[in-house]
Order: sequence, then structure tokens, then C-alpha cells
Amino acid sequence: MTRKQKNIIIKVLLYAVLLVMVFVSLFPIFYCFTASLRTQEELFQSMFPFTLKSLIPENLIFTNYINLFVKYDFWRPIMNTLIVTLCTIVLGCLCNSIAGFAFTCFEFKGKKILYALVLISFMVPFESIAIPLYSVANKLKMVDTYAGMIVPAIADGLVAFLFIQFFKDIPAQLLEAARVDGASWPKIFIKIIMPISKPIFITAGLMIFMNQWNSYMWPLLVARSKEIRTIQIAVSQFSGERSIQWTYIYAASLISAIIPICLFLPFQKYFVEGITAGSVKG
Amino acid sequence: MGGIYIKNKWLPYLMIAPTVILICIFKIYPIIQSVVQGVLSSDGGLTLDNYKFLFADKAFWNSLKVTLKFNVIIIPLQIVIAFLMAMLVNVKLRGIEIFRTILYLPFCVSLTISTVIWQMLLNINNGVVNSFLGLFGVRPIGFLIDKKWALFAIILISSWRGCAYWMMFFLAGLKGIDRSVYESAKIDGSGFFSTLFRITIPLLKNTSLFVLVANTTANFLLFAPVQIATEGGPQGSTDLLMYEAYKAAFVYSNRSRQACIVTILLVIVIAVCVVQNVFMKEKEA
Amino acid sequence: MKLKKMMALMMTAAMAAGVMAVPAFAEEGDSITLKWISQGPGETGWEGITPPILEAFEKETGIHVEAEFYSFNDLFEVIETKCASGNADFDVVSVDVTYVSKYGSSGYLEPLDQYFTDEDKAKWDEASYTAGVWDGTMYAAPENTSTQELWYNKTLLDEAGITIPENDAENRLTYEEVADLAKQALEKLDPDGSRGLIGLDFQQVSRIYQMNMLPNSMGGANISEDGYSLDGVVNTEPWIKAMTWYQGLVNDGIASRGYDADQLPDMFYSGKMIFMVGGTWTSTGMTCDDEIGSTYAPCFEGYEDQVATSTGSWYFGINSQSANKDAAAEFIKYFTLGAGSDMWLEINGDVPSRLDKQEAIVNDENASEIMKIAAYEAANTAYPRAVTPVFGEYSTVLDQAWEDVRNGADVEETLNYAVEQFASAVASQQQ
Repeated sequence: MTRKQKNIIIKVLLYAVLLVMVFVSLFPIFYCFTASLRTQEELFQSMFPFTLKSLIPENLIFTNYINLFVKYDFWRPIMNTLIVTLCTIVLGCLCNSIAGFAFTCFEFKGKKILYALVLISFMVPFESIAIPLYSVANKLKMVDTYAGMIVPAIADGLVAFLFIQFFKDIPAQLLEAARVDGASWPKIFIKIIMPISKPIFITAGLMIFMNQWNSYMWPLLVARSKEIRTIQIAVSQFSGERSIQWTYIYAASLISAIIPICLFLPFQKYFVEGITAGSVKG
Repeated sequence: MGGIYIKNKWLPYLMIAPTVILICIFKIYPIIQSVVQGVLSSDGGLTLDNYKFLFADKAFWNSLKVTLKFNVIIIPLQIVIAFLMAMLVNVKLRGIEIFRTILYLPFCVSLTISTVIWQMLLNINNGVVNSFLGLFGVRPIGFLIDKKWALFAIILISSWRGCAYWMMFFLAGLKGIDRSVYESAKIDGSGFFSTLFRITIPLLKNTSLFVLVANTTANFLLFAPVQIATEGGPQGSTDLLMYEAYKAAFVYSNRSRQACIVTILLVIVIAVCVVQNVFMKEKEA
Repeated sequence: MKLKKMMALMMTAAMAAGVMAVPAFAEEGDSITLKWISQGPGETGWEGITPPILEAFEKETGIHVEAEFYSFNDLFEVIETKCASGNADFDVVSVDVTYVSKYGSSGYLEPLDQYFTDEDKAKWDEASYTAGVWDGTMYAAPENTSTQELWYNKTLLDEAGITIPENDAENRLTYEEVADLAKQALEKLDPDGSRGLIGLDFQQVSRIYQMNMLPNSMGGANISEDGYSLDGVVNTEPWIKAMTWYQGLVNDGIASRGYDADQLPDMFYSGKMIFMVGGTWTSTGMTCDDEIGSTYAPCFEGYEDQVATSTGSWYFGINSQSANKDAAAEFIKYFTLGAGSDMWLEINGDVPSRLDKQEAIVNDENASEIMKIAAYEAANTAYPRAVTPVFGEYSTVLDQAWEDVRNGADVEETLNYAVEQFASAVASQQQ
């Protein structure tokens, strides 16, 4: 076998594996999509036993999507969630990255203890701190405000930890060189650290985005009014005590999945550049 | 940058202040409240009774066993698959950007809805998976209602979305490795596996530590699929500790029980993470 | 550079939101505003149908009621969080009947005895009133009640050429007969299972609200007198017999497995189930055009005098931290006994807890057969749910037991395990 042949076989294999993974990734989403184009009656008539009919609806119905926006004003929760999410991303990336930078590069008293606090903060499930957290939010008059959803989510130990782990990989010479040039700390952070850490800022942003976008219990407790409620809460109105409007849930969930995809596609290319690409070698 | 430590009197405190203060108010304070609840008796005195009751409860021990089994399987599984996926979409191939995007997609579907979808796919009444297996003569399997299968079904549901998530971090790490390192390895005649183990994995040390710790935490604290799909059954086979804690707080209004379970979970997670840390450091040496 | 622009944009967004982050409720006048937290969001839920009642109440009393509607599953978390953190931001709360004793004993609810006279209390049927009482104190007032009937898909039965035998309240169908009819129908309509039809099933499968009807119909109780034990209650003949019968039904392929209570009713609604034991709201849930009918709930052969139907629904309680307790009590009275109650029963179409209204239905020639049956059952066969402050533990343990038996676990083992599990789960709560 020549090298060229071997390369072709490897390529074919890689594509085969990729196609299988694509199928596994997409099939459930496709299933959700077809379910969202049905009436509830057709959904349950055709789901079991599984046949081709379970995948392709007999008559495509877009009313679920139309109603979501016309009847249920889905714009409102989408905008609310975007506001909450974007604010958290900006403030969260800023606070956590600066803290991460300080933890990576500086030596100071109490560093170990503070670092431990940061780590422990994400090792406890939200559900177990919901009750005390609610009384804190209540005391701070944050109930039923955007702030109530944003402020507690800004500082995130896991995001700070992410920054710390990735900042460790930045070559030290970069920093030394800048300090020799007499650059100030804010300048070093903005001019040197931030540009070469784009992928990690985007990863952190995506993490915060998905946390906030999908968060359910906290907005449920802290932001009930229609004016500020978020998308996941809006989706939950379709599950009633006596019946669940499954087709609406599928349609609404698909919309809530598509928005993050669309927003993050433009950032994809930053992943292609490496963190240290083009910088001094480590 | 990991090795350099600059000394400065007040600057680092200023830099960490916003994060640390917010964390203390919105995370640490409620956590302390929660943990303390576990050793308070109903009249406000200190007591270990809550733990005594918990340890006398068979359901707790079953749940602990289930939790350990679940995590021993899911943590390595997710990490290995996520790493391989990241390697795969990091290969230079025509159209790889499209594949990369598609493999991200499961992560955009919320855990709740992905559980609901998989519940349909895994249904015993000729759901998709059983129909497919039926083509090969396999009798319908009660993935979510058979105690031999249910935990694995929960692992599958969580990993479908989870692997896409963790892949993202590995990919960010892989992108951070300088291409020239690979090129020089190639010139030295290093094969795929020796490059993988001698160069890629060691260079991903910091990324891997992050993924390990974050993944461990996430999986120990996971319970949404259980809540939606199995409610801890069949016969307690998917009754994760975190679900027990959730029920204690919101179904039983027994906050001391919840506090005890969460404290135990916290201790386990910390212990596992410390071990991982030590293990990673040893590898480095 | 693009990234910078993006950052600037996001910063602006962040600042804009900061400005908007003012409390949504800032207005406060002289008149009282009550906050009511409840279930049923959406326009077909309570959120959509209660506004006329709230408006009428405001017109009459000048008290404004602001309502928040949470989905059924979320309401418990919300109440728990708000009450456990000592919160006073709501006055009136909708309480599922099963949580009355728990919230009462936890101090979440204000006792109502000072607001309701004995005369008031006598206006509800006995089962409805007592379900709002724990330890001699009334904590909650019934909004309405619920009951179960036997529903059947006429279209499918006609297709199978099966007619339902004559029956009435005194001469009911038995569960055995219904199972047999379902089996015959399945053999005709779906012999190889390719249509995916279900013969006979329960609307709230693996939920004690409905499943406990079976042991209750054989004389089995729900829980011990003190509300803290299952020993000698569920590990007894009625429970073993009822569960064994149900397991047989599943094993014979007449009842289903693998669908949960969120999915199963839709199988009936979309024309894939022949018989279903379900609530009065079943007819409004139908999504297909099949003709359906209903009749009295079945009984077990040999236990004709032990007929039991599930009952209970939503109650109103007052937050013990509320600052407007008198106004809250006024609202609750209006909604459970007064003009608001009339309106509510009219729009919601549930089974009344008020005796005068139950009687009116039975005597009304124009009332639907469904409601007549329901009113009769509520007055005669309603079997109250377990009254216990540890209802959460109780339903968790027994829901799971029903589901395990459905999936083939040994009945006696499951029940013995349930007894043990419940005992250790409530050990810490027992004073």
C-alpha cells in the first residue's frame, strides 16, 4: 500500500466516523423538529410504534411556531433572556478573567484560601442554595428585577477556574517583555492578555451564555412578572396540571436552541486561531 | 505564565475583589447556611442527629452506591469521548468546520428537552431505538423502566449533550498548541500515538485539569434527567444523591436532610478533585 | 478590532439593562393589593380564566388581587423557597389538597378557624372540608373537588363490535369485566400490536392520587391513623390483591408500561386507548374526533359495597407571614363560598365541593351526564387521600411502588420495601 492509498483510507475512515457522529448528534434534534410540526393528536398517533410516519408528518403544520409569536408573544421572553444573558457575559467575562489573571500571576497573602473559596463555590448544586440565596436576593430588593437574575450569576467560580487554567499556558516571556517596556497592568491585560486569549473568552462567554439561557429555577423564583420573564419559564407554561402541550414545547425548545447557535456561529472562526498563535513561543 | 508570581501589595486584591465579593455573597454565604443547617436541631442547638437519621436510611446508602457507580462510568466516558471528538474535528479535512458546528449542536439543546426527546426515542413501545434493534431481532428493551438498563440510559442521555460541551474545552486547548510543535515532531519521525501521548496530552495538562474538575462536579451534581425520566426508579436504580437532596428540600421540606446530603456530596467532590489534582501533578513530575 | 466593537455593543447593552433594573412593582396606593400565587399559567389555564372573578371581587370590595401562575410542578418549589426563607411577598396561596397538613404543620399557613364559622364549614361536603383540616385546625378552604369516572372510546368499541353492558351507580361494571372487554377489543383491533393500542389504563398512572383507588376499592386504607406509618396498611391483603391484579393487567398487554403520567392521557386523547379511568376534564382533553363516553367508576368483583373514587383538588390558604390576612380571608371566602365560587364552578367545570351546588347538578335535568356522575361520586364514594404532614415522602415511596409493580417487580417484596423505606424516611420527622 502506498502512502497515498493509506492517506485516502484514513480520510474515508475519518469521514465515516464523522458521519456517524453527525447522525447521532442530529437525529434527536430532527425528531424534535418533526414533532414541532404536528398537532398533538398526530404526534401521539404516529409516535409509537415507530414507522416512517413518525419521522415525516403527514401534513406539515406551522401553527405551533406562528402561535408562539402571535399568541404567546415569544419575542418578549427572548429579548429578556438576551438582555440578561448578554449583560452576564460581559460582566462575567470581565470580572472572572481579571480575577483569574490575578490568581495566575500574582502572589498575595490569603491566595490559597481565596482560591479554595472560588473552587468550592461551583461544587455545590444551585438547588441546595436556592432557599438561602432567595432570602439574600430578597434583602437586596432584587426580586422581580433583571438585576436579580444578572448579579448573582456574574461571579462564577467555574469561569474563573477556566481562565486560570488557560492563562497558565500563556508564555511568561510575553508578560516579562511588556513589563520591561514599562506597560501598566490594565494596558498589559487589555493589549496583551485579552487579544491572545480570544478563544478562551469566547469559550467562557459561551459557558455563561448557556448557563443563563437554560437556567430555569432561579428565574422562576426571582423573575415572575410577564415583563421580565425568561425563555425557559415561557416554555414551561405549556406544561399544565392536566395536560402538556407537547408540540408547543418542542417548537419553543427548538427556537430556544437555535438562537444560541446563530449567535455563536460568527465566533467560530476565533477557535481556529490558537490561544498562543502568533505569539512568542513558550 | 503559570510559574511566574509577581508580588504587589494591593493590586491583586483589587483585581479579585469583584469576583470574590460576589462569590461570597451569592455562593459562599448560602453554602455555609446550607451546611450549617445539617448540624442544627429543630430548636436551634447543635446536633448530629440529622446525620444519624440519614445514615440509618437504606435509601441513602443505595443512593450513594448509585451515585458512585454513575460517576465512575460517566466521568471517564465523557472525557475520553469528548477528547476524541475534539481530536477528530481538529483534523485538517475539507468541510471540517461544518462537522465541528454540527457536533456542537446537542449542547445547545437544554438538558430538560434533550431528556424529553430521548425518553421518546428510548421508549419500550417500539420507540426509535427499539425499532432499530428490532431489525436485528432484539426484543424490546425497557431502557428507562428496566433496572438493569436505566442507569445506562441516564448516562447516555446526559452524555449526548455533555460530550459536545466538554469537546469545546478540549478543542480550545488543542487550538492553543503551537502548530510548530507538531511540525518538529513530524520531522523527528514521531508517529500518531507517540505524538499523542508524548506531546498533545502533556501540553493539554491545564485544559485537562479544568475539564476533569468541571466534569466531575457537573456529573456529581446532575439530576435533571433522573427527575424527568425515571424519578429515581426503577427500584431505586437511578436514585442519584443529588436527586435525593432535591427531594429532601422541595418534596419533603426536610432541609436538614438536604443539608447533610449536600455536605456529603461536597466532601466527595472535593476529595475526588484533590485526587485528580495530585494525579495530574505526579504525571508532570 | 471587530471583537472590540462587539464588546462595546455588549457594554452598552449591559448598561441599558442596569438602568432598566428597577423593581417591576413600584406603585402603591391606599387600597389593598393582595398577591395570590397559584398554578395554571397560560390562557387555557387558570391564568386565562380567573381574571373576571378577580375583577368582580375588586368591584365589590375594592381589593385588588395580583396573581402569579406557576406550572403545577414548579408551584411546590416556589412555595417551599418563599416560605422557608420566611418570605412575606404573597398573601394567598393555592394549595394542592395533599400539602395542606404539611404546610399547616410547618407553620406556612395561617389557621382559618377565626375566619370561617361552623355554618360556613357545613356548606362543603365532609370529605372536602376535612381534607383542609390538620390536627383539629382548619388551614385551607376547598376551591372545588375532583372525581374519577370510567371513560371509553366509542369509536374503537364500535369498530370491535363491542357494546358496554347496562350499568348504574348501584350496579357498576367490575374492573374484571372492563379488563375482559378491553382484552376482547384488543384481540379484534390490534392482534399483533402494530397499531399500538392500549386496552385499559389510568390517566394518572403511577400516581397515588388515582392508583390508590384500586386498594381503596377493596377496603384498603391509605395510611395509618397517625399519618406516619404504612406498616399494617399497605402490606395487607387489599393492597397485595389490587396490585397483583394491576400487574396482571400490564403483563397481559391490556395496560401499558413505558408511558408516564405526562404522556399516557394523550394516548386516550389521540384515540389509541379503549378504556381509561380519568377525571371529569377528560372530555375537554380530546384531540381526535373519536366519540367517547363515560360511566361510573368500576368496582372489584366481590367488593361491590366498597366502591372508592379518588377525590380532592385545590385549596386556598393564607400565608402566615402575610400583612393582609383579613383581606386575604375575604378573598378566599368569595372564591370558595361566595359569588366568586359560583363563577369559578361555571367557568372551570370541575366538581363542586359545595353541597348546594352538588345537589343542584344532580337535580338539574340539563346538567351533563358527566357532571351528574361526578356529583354523585363526590357525595357518595369519594375516598380521601392520605392525610399526613409527610405527604412528600408518602407519595414518593408509593408512586415508585406502583411504577415498580407495573414494570414487573414482585408485589409483596415491593410493598414490604415501601413500608421500610417510608419508616426510615419519616423517622427524623416524627415528633
